[in-house]
Amino acid sequence: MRQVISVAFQGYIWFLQRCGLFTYEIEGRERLRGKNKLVIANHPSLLDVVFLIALIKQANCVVKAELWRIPVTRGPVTAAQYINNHSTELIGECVASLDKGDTLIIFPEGTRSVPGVPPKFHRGAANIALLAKKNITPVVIECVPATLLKGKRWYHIPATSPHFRIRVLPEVDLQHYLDSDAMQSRKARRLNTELESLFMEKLQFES
Amino acid sequence: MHTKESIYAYLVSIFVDLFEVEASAICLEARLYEDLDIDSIDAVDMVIKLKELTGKKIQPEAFKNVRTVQNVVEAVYELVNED
Repeated sequence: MRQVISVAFQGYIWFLQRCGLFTYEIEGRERLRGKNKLVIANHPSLLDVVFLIALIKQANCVVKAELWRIPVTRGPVTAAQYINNHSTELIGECVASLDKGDTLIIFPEGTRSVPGVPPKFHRGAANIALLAKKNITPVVIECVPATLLKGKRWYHIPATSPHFRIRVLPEVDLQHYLDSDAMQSRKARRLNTELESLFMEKLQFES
Repeated sequence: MHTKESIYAYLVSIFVDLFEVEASAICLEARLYEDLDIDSIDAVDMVIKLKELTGKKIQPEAFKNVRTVQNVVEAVYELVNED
């Protein structure tokens, strides 16, 4: 089922692009090949997850609980067995998914990015990475001009068609965190700060 | 013997050392999640540290309903003084 969604999203992106609704470029695509990766991305637009799932054939994804209530999306998210972000065992389910060999996509901001504001990550993704002992593959997504933003209606379309730039960065190595005997809470904070700084640098925010 | 004051002082040291909370932000009324950015995983580490202080087994359920620093102090105080 996850593969079906992936192919459908590939088709959707191809279609929208052919319609001239947007253009896109992807750097470092080969870094998403292979199985069992923990992918984290910023979330400027509603199309981000469409791109990521299209790029990764068998991806598990943490999805907001509302999508189990909307009739159109309920079927797919249930069939694909995506992880519900309101699950009481959220962290455990994510770690189990990675242990099982899935590739997991998380948007650590927890919601769409606020334009012009440096990304602020929840620590869940950092905690999951440390517990699953899984290096992180960061994906930096930019969309110029902004479209399908948080706080704007979907029909507020910019005058020029937007350009998506998607950069898959080299893995963030967790070894020095795993070797440290600090407590989980402290390691997660350090890792989270490292990830935020990385995204801020790539998105050219002053730290 | 642990007084509420000593428990509070110990909590402040955990929050500052472990969770890197600004000492000035901590007060009895501060809410753990909203004000101090302490999440459920941090709470697990907090319970481990509180075990070291009290030398007692602590069931995470005892902290299920804590929201503020004051709640934690009360819960720990009850725990060390029950028998």
